[in-house]
Amino acid sequence: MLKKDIDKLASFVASKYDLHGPIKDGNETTIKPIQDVTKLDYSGIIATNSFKSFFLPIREELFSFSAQGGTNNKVLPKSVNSKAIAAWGMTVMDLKALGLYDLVFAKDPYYQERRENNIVIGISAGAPAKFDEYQVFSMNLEENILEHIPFDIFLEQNKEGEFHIYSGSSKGRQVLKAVGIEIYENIQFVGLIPEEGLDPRMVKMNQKVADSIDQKVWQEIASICLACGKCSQVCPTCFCFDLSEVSEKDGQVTKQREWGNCFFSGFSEIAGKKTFLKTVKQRLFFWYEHKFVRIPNEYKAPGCVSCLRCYKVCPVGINIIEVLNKLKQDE
Amino acid sequence: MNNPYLPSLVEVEQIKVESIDSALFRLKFKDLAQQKKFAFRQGQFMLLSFPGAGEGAFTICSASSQARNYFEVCIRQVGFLTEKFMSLKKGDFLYVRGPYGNGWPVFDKLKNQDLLLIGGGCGFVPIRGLVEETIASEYSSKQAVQVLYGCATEQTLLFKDEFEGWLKKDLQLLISLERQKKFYQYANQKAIKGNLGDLFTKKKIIKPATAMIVGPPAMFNPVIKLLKQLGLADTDIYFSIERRMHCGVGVCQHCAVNNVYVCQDGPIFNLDDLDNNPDLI
Ligand SMILES: Cc1cc2nc3c(=O)[nH]c(=O)nc-3n(C[C@H](O)[C@H](O)[C@H](O)COP(=O)(O)OP(=O)(O)OC[C@H]3O[C@@H](n4cnc5c(N)ncnc54)[C@H](O)[C@@H]3O)c2cc1C
Ligand code: SF4
Ligand code: SF4
Ligand code: FES
Repeated sequence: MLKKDIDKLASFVASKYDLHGPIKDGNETTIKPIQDVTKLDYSGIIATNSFKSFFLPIREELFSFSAQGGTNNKVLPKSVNSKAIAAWGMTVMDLKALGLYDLVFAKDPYYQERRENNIVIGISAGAPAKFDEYQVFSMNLEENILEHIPFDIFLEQNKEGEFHIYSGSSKGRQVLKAVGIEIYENIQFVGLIPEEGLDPRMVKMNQKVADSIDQKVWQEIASICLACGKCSQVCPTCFCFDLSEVSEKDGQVTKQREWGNCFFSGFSEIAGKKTFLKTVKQRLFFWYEHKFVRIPNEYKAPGCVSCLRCYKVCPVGINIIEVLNKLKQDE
Repeated sequence: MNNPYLPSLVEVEQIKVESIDSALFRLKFKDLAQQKKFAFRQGQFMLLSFPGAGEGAFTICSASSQARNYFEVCIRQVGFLTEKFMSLKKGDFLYVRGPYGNGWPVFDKLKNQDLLLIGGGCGFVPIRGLVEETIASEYSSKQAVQVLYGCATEQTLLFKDEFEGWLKKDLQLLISLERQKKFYQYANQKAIKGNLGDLFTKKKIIKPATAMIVGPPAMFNPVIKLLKQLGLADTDIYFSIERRMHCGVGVCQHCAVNNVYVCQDGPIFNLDDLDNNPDLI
C-alpha cells in the first residue's frame, strides 16, 4: 500500500471516529486531534504525551447518587457516552502498554466500554535513535511480536515507505473492507506473554529492583527529583487513580475517577495527616517498584515498555535506563 | 459486567453511642435478598460512603453468623467523612460496598488454639468483632480467650456495656487505662493504671496462644516484643494495619506496601510476613 491509500484509510476512520494521532511540530511530536490526515507522522518518533487518556481519562464520572436521604435513594451508573476515538499511530511500545491496561482493567466496565468503542491503529516504526540502550529493558522485537500486542489494524512501513497491513480484530477487518482494502494479513492475538514463557529480562529486573531500597542510587536521584509527578503523567503504563466525589449545584453528587500520582504527598495519607510514603526516595522507589515488581508479579507482563517518555519530560533529567544500570553496578 | 465501584444502600437500624467520639452502627441492606446473601470473614472491612463526603474503610465488628440479618461497624470521628456518619440517625440510609480484605485466620485451623486478642485505643473495634465471633460460635467455651484492652481513660473505652456479657461467656478481659485518675471497675474486676505493656507484667497472660493485634502503629513493636518474651513464635502472631484506600480491589495502588495490597492481601498479616516486607509496620 502507498501512503495515499493509508491517507484514504485514515480519512474513512476519521469519518467514523474522533481521530487522534502523532503530529510533528518543530522538534516535538505530540498526539493530537487530527484535522488533516496527511499530517499524521509515521517517523516512529515517540510522542511526548501518551495515548492512555483515551482509555483511562484524566477524569471520568462513574455514577451519581440520585438524592440524599429517603428510601428512594439509588445509584445511577454513568455510561461512557463519549465519542468513540481512533488511536492512530500507536507504536509497539504503546500497544504493549495498552495490553497491560487490558489486563489491569479486565473487570472494569468503564474501561471495557471505552475499549470496545475505540479503534486502535498501530504503526511499526518506533525504535528510537539510540536503540541499543533499550536492551536493558524488555523490548522484544521478535518476529511474532504482533501476536502479542492488541490492535485492530497495524501498519508496517518498509524502507521504501510502502505499507503492509495487518488486521487484529473483526472491527479492524470491517473498516478495511469498508475502505476497499483487500490485501492484508490476519493476526490472532494470543496474549501478552510470549510462548517461551516469562521474559527473562523482566524477571531479572524484578529481582534487581525488589529490596534495593538501601542502594545509594535511590538517595542520589531523590536528592535531585522534584516530586513533580510529570513522569507518571506521561507514562503509558502508570494507572494509579483516586476516587472522589463532586457535588453539583442541584445537590446531585457524582463519583468520579481521576488519575492519581504517587509522587504527591496525599497519595498515602490517612486520617490525622499520617503518610506512609514520606520521603521523595520512598516515592521514587514506590514508582519503580510498581513497574518492575508489582506489575510483573501480578500480570506476568513488564510494567515498563521502555518508551522513555518519563526521561524526556523530567525537568531534572532523571533517566530510567541510567537508574536501572546503576542498580546493576551497585549489586 | 459487574461494576466494582457501585455501592448498595443500607439502612441504619440501630445506633449506640460508645464514647465521646465513637458510635456503633447496626446496618441492614435495603434489598433484603442482598442481606440474605451477605457473608463475610471476621476481620474484613466495608467501604462506607456518605454522598458528598466520600468513602472510607470500616471493619465489620459483629459476628459473621449474623451476616444474613445485619452487620455492625463502630466509627470514630476523625475528619470530614466520619463527622457526617455521626450525624446519621436511626432509619437513615448510607452506601456500602464490600466486604474486602482477607480476614483473620480460621480459629479451628490455628496451631495454638487459645486466643490472645489485643487492642489499643480505637484499634479495639476489630477486636470486638473477634470477641463477638468467639461468643457466637461458642469458641470461648471450648478454648481460653483472653482480651487485652489498652485505652486512655474510662471515657474513651468502647463497648463498656458489653464487658459483663463477655465475662459471662468465659472470656477473660484485662484492661489498662493510661490516663485514668480514679480506678475503673467492670463486673468484679479492676482496670490497671498503665499501658497495654503493663498488663504483661501485672497480669497472667495465657500461653501458648495465637495473638491477634490491632492498634496504633506505635503499639505494635513493644507488644510484639512482649509476646515473643512470652514464648510466642512469629507464626503465632497476627496483626491488622491501616493504609489509605480508594478502590478496595487491588488496582489503584494507594494501599500498596512493597509487593502487597493491604486492601486485598491484608489488612491482616502474620509476623512472618515481615521477613519479606518490613514496611508493613
Ligand atoms: C482496613 C481499615 C479498616 C478501618 N476500620 C475502621 C473502623 O472500624 N472504625 C473507624 O472508625 N475507622 C476505621 N478505619 C479508618 C477510617 O477509614 C478513617 O478514619 C476514615 O476513612 C477517615 O475519614 P475522614 O474523612 O473522617 O478523615 P479525614 O482525615 O478528614 O480524611 C481522610 C480522607 O482520606 C480518605 N481515606 C481513604 N482511606 C483512608 C484511610 N484508610 N484512613 C483515612 N482516610 C482515608 C477518606 O476518604 C477521606 O477523604 C479503617 C481503615 C482501614 C484502612
Ligand atoms: S520508559 Fe518511562 S514512561 Fe516509558 S513505560 Fe517505562 S517508565 Fe513509563
Ligand atoms: S519527572 Fe523527574 S523530577 Fe518530576 S517526579 Fe518524575 S523523576 Fe522526579
Ligand atoms: S485500595 Fe486500591 S489498591 Fe488497595
